[in-house]
Amino acid sequence: MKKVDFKSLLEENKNIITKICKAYSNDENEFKDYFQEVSLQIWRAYDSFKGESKISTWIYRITLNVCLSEIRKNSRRINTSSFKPDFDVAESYTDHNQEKIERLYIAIKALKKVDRAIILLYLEDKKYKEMAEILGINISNIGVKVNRIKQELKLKLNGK
Amino acid sequence: MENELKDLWRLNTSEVEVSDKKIDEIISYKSTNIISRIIKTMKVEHYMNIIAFPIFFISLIYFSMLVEAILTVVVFVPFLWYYQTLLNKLNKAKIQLSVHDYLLACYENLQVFVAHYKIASVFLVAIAFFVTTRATWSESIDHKILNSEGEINISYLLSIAIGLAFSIGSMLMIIHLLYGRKMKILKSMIEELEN
Repeated sequence: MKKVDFKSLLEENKNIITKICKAYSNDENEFKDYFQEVSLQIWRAYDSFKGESKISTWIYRITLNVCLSEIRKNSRRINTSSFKPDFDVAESYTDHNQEKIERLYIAIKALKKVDRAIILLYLEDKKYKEMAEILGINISNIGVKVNRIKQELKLKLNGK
Repeated sequence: MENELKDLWRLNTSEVEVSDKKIDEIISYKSTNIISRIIKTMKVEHYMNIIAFPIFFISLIYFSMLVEAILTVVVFVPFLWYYQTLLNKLNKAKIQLSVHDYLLACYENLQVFVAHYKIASVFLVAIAFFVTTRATWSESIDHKILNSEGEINISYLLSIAIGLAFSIGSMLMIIHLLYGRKMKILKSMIEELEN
């Protein structure tokens, strides 16, 4: 893969990677590490991409695989304070929305790691079929899990 | 509420700037991924074996120790084959697998890696023990094992056995502390996905 192609692939999918990495990071340094690792794995694996699935499905898989398999000593610590990754980030939402989004991140981070993966795909508006393809589980399980996690997320957003 | 959350999520478009400098940084970055680290360690061990084997073999031939040279081939060839098989197995954990399959592959790789080090550490402790006892073997030890009446000194042998068991136990405990928690977490995530 050429560097220029890699750059455009990363540019097109950085939103997906950023959102997922942020949901699994407790601080800015962790976010940077996750982003770097995901990008590196994409760079290394791209030549084996056969086009059997959508490129976004492939990116979701790699990003979630990196974030879920990275088991750190402080992985149980949930940082409830917001952080803004200064990783050359340009913000494009208002302060009010940003506050709401930060609250949503806090609620997501309070979920179990696997539940976080499912709710992130749900928020990304993925169909159950694609979610099953990314997660590698039965499609009939997805609906049940999504409903349970949505309820849990609502409770956490309401501070319960 | 649900659509509100999805709409809010869509607004979440904070962007990371992907510059040429950043691309160079990413490409030269050393992976912290658990599978990459395990494969790297196994490759280093494999290459060390590949280098050590011919050196050892040629030295034995040079000193006309033909029986030892044949024994070296008998031991090393399956050993190199074992490492190659292990590496092939570890390489199956492709990052682009589905989340469930990847976590399962990580877990199985860790199992293989841990089993490998448990066996290796038991052998290392046993070899270290016999090498040191042989090197320091003297009549005084003979007297400790056999008392003046020529009977076996059970308590001395027991203390050796306890020492060996403690050394092996410590090695296994260190391996468990390094990888046990990771394996437990991976297993629980796999179960959560399956149930």
